[in-house]
Amino acid sequence: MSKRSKTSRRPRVAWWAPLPPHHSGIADYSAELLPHLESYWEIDLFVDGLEVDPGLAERHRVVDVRETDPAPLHAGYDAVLYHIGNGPAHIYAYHALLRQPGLVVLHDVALTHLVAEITHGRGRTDLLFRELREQHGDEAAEELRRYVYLHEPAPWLVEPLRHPLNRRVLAAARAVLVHSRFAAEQVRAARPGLPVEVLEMHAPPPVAGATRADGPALVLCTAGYLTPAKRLESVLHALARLRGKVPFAYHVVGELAPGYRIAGLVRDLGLEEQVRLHGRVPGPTLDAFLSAADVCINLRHPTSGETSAMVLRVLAAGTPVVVSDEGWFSELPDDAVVKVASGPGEVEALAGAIESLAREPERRRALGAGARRYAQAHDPVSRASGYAAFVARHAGPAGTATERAAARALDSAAAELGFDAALAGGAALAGDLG
Amino acid sequence: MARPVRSVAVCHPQIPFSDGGAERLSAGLVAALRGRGLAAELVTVPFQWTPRDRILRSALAWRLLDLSQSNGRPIDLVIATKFPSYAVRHERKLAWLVHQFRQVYDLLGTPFSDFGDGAEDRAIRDAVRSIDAHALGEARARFAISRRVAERLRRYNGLEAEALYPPPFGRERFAPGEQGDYVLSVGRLEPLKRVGPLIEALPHADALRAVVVGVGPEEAALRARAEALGVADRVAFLGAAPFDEVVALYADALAVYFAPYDEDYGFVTVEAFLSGKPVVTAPDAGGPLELVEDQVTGLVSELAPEPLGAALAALARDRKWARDLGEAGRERVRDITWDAVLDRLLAAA
Repeated sequence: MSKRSKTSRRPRVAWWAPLPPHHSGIADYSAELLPHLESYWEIDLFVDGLEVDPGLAERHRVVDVRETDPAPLHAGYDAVLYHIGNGPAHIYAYHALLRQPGLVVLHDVALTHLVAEITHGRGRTDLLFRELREQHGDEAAEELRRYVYLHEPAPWLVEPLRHPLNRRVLAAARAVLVHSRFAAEQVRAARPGLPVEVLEMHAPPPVAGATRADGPALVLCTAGYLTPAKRLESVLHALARLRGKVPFAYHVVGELAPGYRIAGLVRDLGLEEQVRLHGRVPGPTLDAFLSAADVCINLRHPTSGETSAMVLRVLAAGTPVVVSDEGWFSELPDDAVVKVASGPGEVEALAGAIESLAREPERRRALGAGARRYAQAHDPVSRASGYAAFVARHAGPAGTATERAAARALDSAAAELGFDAALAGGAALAGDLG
Repeated sequence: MARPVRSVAVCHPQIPFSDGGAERLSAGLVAALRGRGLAAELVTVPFQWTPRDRILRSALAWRLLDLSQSNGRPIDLVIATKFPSYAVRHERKLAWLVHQFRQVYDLLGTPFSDFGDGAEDRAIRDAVRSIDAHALGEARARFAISRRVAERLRRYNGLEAEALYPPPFGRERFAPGEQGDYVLSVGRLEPLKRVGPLIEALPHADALRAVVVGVGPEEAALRARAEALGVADRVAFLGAAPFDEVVALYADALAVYFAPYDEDYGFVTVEAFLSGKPVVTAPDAGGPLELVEDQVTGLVSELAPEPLGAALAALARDRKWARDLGEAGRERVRDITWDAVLDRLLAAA
């Protein structure tokens, strides 16, 4: 009798995400999670011509989609995971997803920047009109017309979630993983019936040995990539109101987005002595700032439905953080963060929050402990097992049903003969049949 | 109780536009099975070995075939011969191994294999070995066309196989004729078949003539060498002669020269013996040495021009001895018949 030899193997996963040394929250996120996912999956990294950190390239096969057509390869994977965020680093994954459906990790609900970049940003404003009209109707197209012809504010910057331009992604997704209940609700409303799961983002491991300066001034810090949505103007106005009441020092750590200037406002408000702009700093220096601060301020408005890796980093440092009360930030526990409402009362609310934190060191300590608890409960190991479960529930290679059936047949034929079908270009073969 | 065998698929890889001993073996097996009243069919799939991954694809192609039934009727038995045809899946599979993919085994590191030590080559080599281990390992019974082939399978894959010698195509046609004055060489003119030493030996073999049947990449070089050695008038290159003519050439030869490098089996030996001719071969010829016993059924000579020339000259001088050696050879292959092969194969099915 013939024997059917079964070889048990880890699922093969195609991981589409920007990676270090590229600078982005999602690149760091990938690099932090991948080591914990290796025990579940065999992971190949699909990148867009970017240099990949040598440590990652050593442990994974790297497929540069500028050199290799990924479409025929996909049939050979048990799951294709596209990480989609609202920025140009995700354009290649966006295009690939539309071509070959797969699983989506949606880091931002709104993809307005991304879609605007590949249309309007490339001189094809007509395509952005079409996208807005097809996905969100004539009213959305009218807003774009006012932006283009009447120079009104860009709608995708003012209110990204109203016309999030994510419909194509949701149509191509087999299942979606998001980082917040808020994002899940948005996705469910946009495409009922699409499987959506929430897996809260992991926090980095705590940094050991950092000590909080016990000086008379309250040490405040805002860190991250600094765009108008980080509300630095509101923060500076709130601090101006505290002058004379509360001694403080405010450190702004991070790169300012092109065209975003705050130095003039710091001067106008007479805060030059208290406010220091540090620009982008290396990781260890950043962690030192976060640990040394008494309170961090990380506002976000408008939200694109994103999760803030920086807030998680602050929580892991055990530092209380003031956040905006919207989107994912609203879901953070009240024993770890202080929430202030966005909108007209933002400055007053923020000033009040900082003042009370300044007067209540015990509450700051309690919030810091709560922050650490949250970070520990969201360690990468527990996130990895959540990922594995998500993929197990929704696995299936990208590509057509024919491609998948052919890939399965080739995989099992090769396994019976004791080798990996990939050696024979099995996935490409299956792709040819699809 | 196993179902009696009524239908047999003989599996053999095809190299389009190329034909050789292995192809004749499979065709002969099909004909013999039909001769016994069984439904028999040759199943073939083209085999490619460049680029490298095609080797594995060919194995996959065989594995994906479903030979359990055809046209609603079961295929009772599968007999597979060469790599990668034995990758085929069937619950009653026999392997009658003609040869493995030798470039990753015994030929590795010789000029006859272009496999190196790079990562890709290693991966393909390992995969081929794994295919052999799995596909031959799952066979209901394993035979090899010679002890030499069985030895390699044991050595490289740890699998046992029984030597089962196939008869040559048109076996009944071979018979002794006149004893002529030429040494016959039959086979492709390529390095592994080592026809060159025969030409080199002629200056040392008195006035003996050589008749060379076959075509191949070395033909021009061999002709040029014969010219250079001044023996061109004693060598006849006949090219691809028709079968009848080859049978007649065997029948009337003095002896047959057949000294390939590590041959798997060598139909030429059997054809020579059936024709009552002694075979002159080399100590590293492989399969032929299972039948050629030095000074009993032929001569085993070093291939340097002088010893080889001397061996050939000795046969030319002592023609009775040559005839006796040939007759002993004829006795040696008397039982190499399709009947004997089918009895053994079907008993194992």
